Amino acid sequence: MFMKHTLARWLAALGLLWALAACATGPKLVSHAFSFNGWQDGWAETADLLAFSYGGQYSPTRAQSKDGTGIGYSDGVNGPMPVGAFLSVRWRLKATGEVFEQRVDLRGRLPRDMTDHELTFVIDGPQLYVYVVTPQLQPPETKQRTHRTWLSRYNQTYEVFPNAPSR
Amino acid sequence: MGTSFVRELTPQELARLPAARQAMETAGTQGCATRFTFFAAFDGTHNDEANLKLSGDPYPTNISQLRSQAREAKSPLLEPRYYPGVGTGGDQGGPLQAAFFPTDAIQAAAEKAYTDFRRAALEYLNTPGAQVSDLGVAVAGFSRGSACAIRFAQLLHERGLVAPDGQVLSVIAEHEHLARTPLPVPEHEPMVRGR
Repeated sequence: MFMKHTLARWLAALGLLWALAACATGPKLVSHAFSFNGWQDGWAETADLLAFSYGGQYSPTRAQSKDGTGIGYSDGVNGPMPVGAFLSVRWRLKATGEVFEQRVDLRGRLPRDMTDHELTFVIDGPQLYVYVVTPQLQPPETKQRTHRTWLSRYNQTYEVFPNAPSR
Repeated sequence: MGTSFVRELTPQELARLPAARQAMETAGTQGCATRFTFFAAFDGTHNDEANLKLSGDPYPTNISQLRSQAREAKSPLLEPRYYPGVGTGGDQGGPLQAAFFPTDAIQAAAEKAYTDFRRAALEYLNTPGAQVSDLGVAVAGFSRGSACAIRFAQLLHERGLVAPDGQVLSVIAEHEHLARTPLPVPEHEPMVRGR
């Protein structure tokens, strides 16, 4: 009898935990990273970043300049977050003052599983480049970056915009 | 995660406070990096600036604020990274990890920070005139983010900076005092800088 009651209590507790977990569900969170580095990638000298948004659901990967002077050239988040459906970037060229904005639809361009991957972008004049950096390390003999992003020197990297990766 | 009263400090712990305060005040004041600093901001249990409801607090933590300020500093010498806290989903787990089993989540965050630091430091060393002695690390942690910060410091101490060919370029000995700090740590927001 005692065993029966104990089992019932455990089952009830498990059920409660399951219900709590179910209540806590929101957008699916995947552990991956988002970063940019205009210093290492060279665009900090030529462009001011005015706004960026990797998806619309996660505030650490969104920012907008409040005073028009730019929001910095380097930042990164590495943790559980929703995989973004788009990347939107607005920047201004220092030489001409021209403002550009690019919104990239990432659906179909990203790996099915972004776990431990990283999304990054590079500004080159009026053009935006978007890359997926995989957790796969480059061979030790790799001495140069394979793409515009500095991360490609250390990890295997794929361009997903403007050129889609060949699958 | 809010503040909770656990117990009074023992006389021995009270006696150690002046030395601890002195260590915190002087940490990083000598030889702290002036050329390159990797800043790892580890948020606390259930603390994610994107999901404030999870912590039950309407405001982002100081860790979140520090990270934003680091980005807005627009310094080529400062490389900021933000790591959401234990219990925020994915490899940071959920309520169970937040309540009882945080170790794997802490380890995962520290490993991520180590990977991010290693690449950034190696890339900095590619610049002409750069030296290993230029490298610096600043960590800030809240709640169990403090444990992540300490574990990160331990990884730096244990592994040093490893080049792609496996060569250890630097053993960051100055972190030794931090790396030997036992876990878990009290819930506060220590700011530790060192090289």
